[in-house]
Amino acid sequence: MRVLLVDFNPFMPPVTPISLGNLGAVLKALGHQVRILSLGSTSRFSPQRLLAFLKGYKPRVTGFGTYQRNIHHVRALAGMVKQVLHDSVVVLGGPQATFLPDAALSIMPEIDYVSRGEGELTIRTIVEAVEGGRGEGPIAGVTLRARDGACITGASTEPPADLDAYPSPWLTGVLDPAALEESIMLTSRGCPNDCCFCYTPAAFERRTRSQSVERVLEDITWVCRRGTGHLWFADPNFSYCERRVVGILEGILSKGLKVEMWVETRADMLTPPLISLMKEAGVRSVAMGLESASPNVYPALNKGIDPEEIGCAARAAIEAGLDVELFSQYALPGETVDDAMKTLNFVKDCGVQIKGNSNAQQMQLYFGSKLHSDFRKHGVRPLREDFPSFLSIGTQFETDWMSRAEIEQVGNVWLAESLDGGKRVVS
Amino acid sequence: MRGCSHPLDDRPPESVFLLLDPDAGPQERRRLVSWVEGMLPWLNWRSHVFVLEDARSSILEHGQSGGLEVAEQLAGVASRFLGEHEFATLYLHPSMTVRSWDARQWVPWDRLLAPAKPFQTRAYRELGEARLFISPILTLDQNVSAGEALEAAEFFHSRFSTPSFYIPGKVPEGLINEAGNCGIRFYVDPGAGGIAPQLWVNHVFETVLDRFGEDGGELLAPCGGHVVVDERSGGLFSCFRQWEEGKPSTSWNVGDFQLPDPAAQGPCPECIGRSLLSMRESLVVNDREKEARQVYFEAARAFSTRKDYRMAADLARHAFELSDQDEDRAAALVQEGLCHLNSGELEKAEKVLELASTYPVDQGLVAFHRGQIQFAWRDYIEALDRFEEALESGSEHVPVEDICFQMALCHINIEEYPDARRYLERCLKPGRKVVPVFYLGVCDLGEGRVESAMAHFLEALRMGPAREDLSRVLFNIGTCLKDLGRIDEAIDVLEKAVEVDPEDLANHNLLGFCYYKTKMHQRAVDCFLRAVEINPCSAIDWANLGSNLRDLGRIDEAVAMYKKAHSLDPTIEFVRVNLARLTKVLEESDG
Repeated sequence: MRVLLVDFNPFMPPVTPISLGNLGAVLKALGHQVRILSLGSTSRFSPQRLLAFLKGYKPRVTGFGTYQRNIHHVRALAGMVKQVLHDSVVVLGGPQATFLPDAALSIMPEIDYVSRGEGELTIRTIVEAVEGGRGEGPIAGVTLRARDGACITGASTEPPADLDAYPSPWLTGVLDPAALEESIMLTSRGCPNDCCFCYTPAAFERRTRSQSVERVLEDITWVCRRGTGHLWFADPNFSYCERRVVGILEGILSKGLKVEMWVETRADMLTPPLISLMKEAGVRSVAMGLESASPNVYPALNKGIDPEEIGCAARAAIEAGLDVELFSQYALPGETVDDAMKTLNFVKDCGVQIKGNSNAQQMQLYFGSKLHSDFRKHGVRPLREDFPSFLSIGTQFETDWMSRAEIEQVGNVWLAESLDGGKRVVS
Repeated sequence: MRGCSHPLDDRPPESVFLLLDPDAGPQERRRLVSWVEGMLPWLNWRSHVFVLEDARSSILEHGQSGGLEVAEQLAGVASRFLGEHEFATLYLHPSMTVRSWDARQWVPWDRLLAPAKPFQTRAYRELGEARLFISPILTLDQNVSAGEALEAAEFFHSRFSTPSFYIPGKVPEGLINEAGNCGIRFYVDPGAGGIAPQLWVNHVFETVLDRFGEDGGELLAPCGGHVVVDERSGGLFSCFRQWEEGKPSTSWNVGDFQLPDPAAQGPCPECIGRSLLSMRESLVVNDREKEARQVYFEAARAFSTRKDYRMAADLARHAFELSDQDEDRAAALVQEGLCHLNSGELEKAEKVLELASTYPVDQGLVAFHRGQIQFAWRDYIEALDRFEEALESGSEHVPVEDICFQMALCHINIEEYPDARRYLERCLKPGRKVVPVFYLGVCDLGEGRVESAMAHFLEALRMGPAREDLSRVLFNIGTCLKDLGRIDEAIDVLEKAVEVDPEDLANHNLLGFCYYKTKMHQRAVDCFLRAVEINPCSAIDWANLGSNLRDLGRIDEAVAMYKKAHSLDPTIEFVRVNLARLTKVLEESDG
């Protein structure tokens, strides 16, 4: 079966579609034909060319990576697919889909399925169901719209504890590092922590699963041999397991791989010996989640880490010659303008430059996060009551502690301090 | 690009510039609008359409509104297109004239903006992007005050439209200060060359600026992202340059839209350089000095790489003038100085680098280049002072070997061979290299140590000199052999030297001399003829011709050659003696 997987972020340049690559690898291993389109703000294509591509490739299943910002464009592309290919089914996946309300499906006629579970499993069950003519019945890990308009959600899926169970998008040739300036690696999923603003705890039930050290090294070796050696680890918490991360870094060294890496980690894992090993192995940048430096704010975030600890880790990493990025947010529960300024000053005091991912962003309320589920309890006041059901509150709110104008004011102060005009990479 | 390339990328145009013909009738206009409608699906999913009422003239005629009508129709067309392609976004930029105190003009403006309203409403409802943006380019009619201009801008702002101003000639007082705070863009055109040329240079600037974000993007590559449609000529052009030169890719008014061939754009660097240079005033007015400095500096480097040093120097000068950080100013000055140096503008180079030395810059780097200037002026003593300065500075940017090598060359030129040898030995510390070894031979030769010189030249030959250096190495080996009296061997080597570089006069001269010594006069004549062909002012080669013709018994010709040599350089003693003697012989034989 021909499957098309699309990632379209109209507001940022395209990046390695690692998640779609993982899905593609599973499908390819099952003998399906897969094409992946990674489109972004700088991608150039005409509607006419897209039309011709769809007519030529004729995908039976088209899947989209979906998040809050791109859902309008995804819906538009899905509409085009449906218009051109009447028997093609369209699947919404990605973070927006996991906890998307059923009601949203009823107002999106161009969407057939919403993937709730792990993509590698649900894309397989969908393709098998469509292939077997069972596309209208319950499908595990998927919500679909029945003929009578009702939404049917299939049984939940149980993802494998060991991510090595999935084939590699690199080694299977689904993604080609030779075509990339930078390769994104995703070697683990989930996070044991329970930050209230984050979607990950609910999506992965606070479990962390990972690829083995050997599998990661196998992928890295291949990517380095074919590509540039610029690696960007999208793991939510790359160093959650010290033994594993040490194994990966030592493996890179023993294999003599020339890499430059960006990794995200928690500060409490960033010990001096690990910093030293990271530096030696080719880690160029470490990013850490600070969120807020104000004692009025961070305890309620459930982050379980003291900003001072983050500051120490940041200074130690900078001293060791690493670039450090600190993720921070404003308009958090309990946060006043003064609290927000404390965070800005804290980042500067750490010696971190305000650019890239160190540009703060307004907190966003996504489906699945504790904050979104119970926003009123957290003092969040949506700016409107009539959100389309496919959108979460996002940034459209003020709080009991900050008005809309004050939130904008804090954003402007950060922007004025920014060295790159506020160009954040990770949301 | 950080991510994947994709199979849809056929580089569709992102900007279309419609240059309207003011004399077009309603029927022609309908045809144009209909053609644009057919073209929209072929454009990039996020595109700009500029509707320019009068491309060349800077001042639009009072009351002219044909362009506005077209823009209105196109807004309707765009609205339909976007309704069918909900992932696409279109920016429509009609040029319009603002007249003084005429509220009637607001009625068609409102009509123009109407198609954007449903998109704005939906964007608000669904927290999305409006997708149809109508952003007029306003030209001020005569007598329009800054206040009226701002009022017009406010009219559009209040309707979620962002206008810009095209300002030919003098900027109305107060306008930029007041409007600049509202984020309005200005197209400032001091030469009043017309709105299309202004948009042209802006487009080039934005294209170059965008390339900074692209890994591996070539700064001076063809723009490739725009097409120009000239209603008057019927031409569809792959870029503004082609439009200016009147070279259409095809005609827009025949059949369906066809993408013009980007390859037809021709040489683009010159267009890019010229455009960037003419952008400066607009960039300053729009408070974009920081971006401008970056573009000018990087473009200067790109032009320098292409060896277009004049353009590079001009761009570097702009980068210097727009910099507000001393480090940036210094870097721009060094860049400019190097460009002047490379283009042989030594006085300019010295002046600029002297200025650069007053900034916080790598003083060793500046001193090194100033040393090169002195060297080019053949002031070797002064050059040595500069190189010494560079050496002492411990510069990170100039390798010690490079400095030592330059110092060695200075000493060779003033025949201080022991000093030259000392610096050449330092060059060879990291390992033996062809060029310093060769110059060790030159030092030996200068001191009359021919055997040692030949050993160095032979070592250089064994090390495999660069193609451009091979002829010099062979020539010097030939010189040594000749000095050692091994003329036959010298001839073999020099014949190879001539083969490697037939344009080097010295090779022909020395080979001719060796033939002369072995009494192969006809071959010698051939060599000296080639030499005077290369340099007709070489008196010694004319004289050598004379001597060989004399020995061949061709006295008439010999006398003529000696006369030529004498006329060029009357100080050559053997010419004078031979000329007198042979003239006498001829006279006697005539007598």
